[in-house]
Amino acid sequence: MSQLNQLHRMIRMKATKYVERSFEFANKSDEELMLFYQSGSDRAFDIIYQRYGGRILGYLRKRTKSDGGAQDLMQEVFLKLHRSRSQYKANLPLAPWIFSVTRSVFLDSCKRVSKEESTTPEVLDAFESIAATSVNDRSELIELLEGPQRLAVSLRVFEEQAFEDIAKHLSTTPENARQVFSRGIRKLRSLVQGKE
Amino acid sequence: MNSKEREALMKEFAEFSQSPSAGIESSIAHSHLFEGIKGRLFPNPWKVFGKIALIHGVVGFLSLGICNQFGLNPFNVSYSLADFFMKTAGHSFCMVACGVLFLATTYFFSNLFLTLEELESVRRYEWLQLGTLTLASLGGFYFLGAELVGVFVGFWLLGALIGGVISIEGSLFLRKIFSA
Repeated sequence: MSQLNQLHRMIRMKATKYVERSFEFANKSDEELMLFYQSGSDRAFDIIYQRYGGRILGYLRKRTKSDGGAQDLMQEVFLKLHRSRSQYKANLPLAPWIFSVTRSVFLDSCKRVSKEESTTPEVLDAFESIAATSVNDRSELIELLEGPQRLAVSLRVFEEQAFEDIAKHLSTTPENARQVFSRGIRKLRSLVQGKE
Repeated sequence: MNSKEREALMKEFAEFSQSPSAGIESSIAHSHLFEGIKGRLFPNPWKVFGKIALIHGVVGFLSLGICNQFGLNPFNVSYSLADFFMKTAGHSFCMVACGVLFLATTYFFSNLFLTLEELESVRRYEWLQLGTLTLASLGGFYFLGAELVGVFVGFWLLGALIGGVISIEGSLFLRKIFSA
């Protein structure tokens, strides 16, 4: 029984220390927290996330106009922050550094999307050429696909829906919907080439 | 950057700074988001060790086909690296070199399956992981019928620890360069 009490006391002491330590971290400046984060403290990361998560998500949400897209980018932002945390210099304020990382992740995603959009007409042309050369009935061609790829390709080709709408049907992000569609077209091409 | 661009950037930064700073919404979705991000950046060391142990089990066993350890030759190969090491510099060197190879192959192969953050987590508990893996490997060899002789086991352990440290540090160094 006394051993149990001792264990209980020990757990309480550890829990109190944890809370005290968290409280101690909460009172630190951003720059001090960053030093702890650089040395591998995950609690320092928690506080940085609490302080900046909302700002990053708000900034990205306003620009992407999509909650899912903003959340995906936010993950990328924190991954980039984490991987480049050793490059941060503690004599400089943290907020502009986090802002520049957030902005660069957002701009990179814009470039990615515009590159994919510019290739979409080419992909559709490829689909038309596949349909014209090998199978007369386009729906017959789409029947070769399965699951989300079939849905994405048929919504895009027959109903000319935007990727934002296709994403809703697939319960995913527009970026993913675009990838599913491109993969479907690639698969069709390889299937048709295999038949010839 | 001209003054107009600078002004636009400052405006954007002011907007970023004025976004909700009191904290992220405390909905379930956002706590999932936080858990997801934190889980990726600070992976559970036990899970990472589990992965490494699994990789070590497979890669370590396959490596016996290239370099026999303590005379174990499950693939019945006629010539192994151990023979080469033995001829080159004797039994002690052979044990060190075989130990290096046995652990180093595991950590180099694990790069195919681990993220950079998982590799960092490996490094955080480097000695504990290496110690556990080497001792478990020796246990495995004993189980498979190897004759473990004191001083040679010492040489092998030394080699395994050297191989482990070099491969972890080397992998991390290369991964950081390529992910930058």
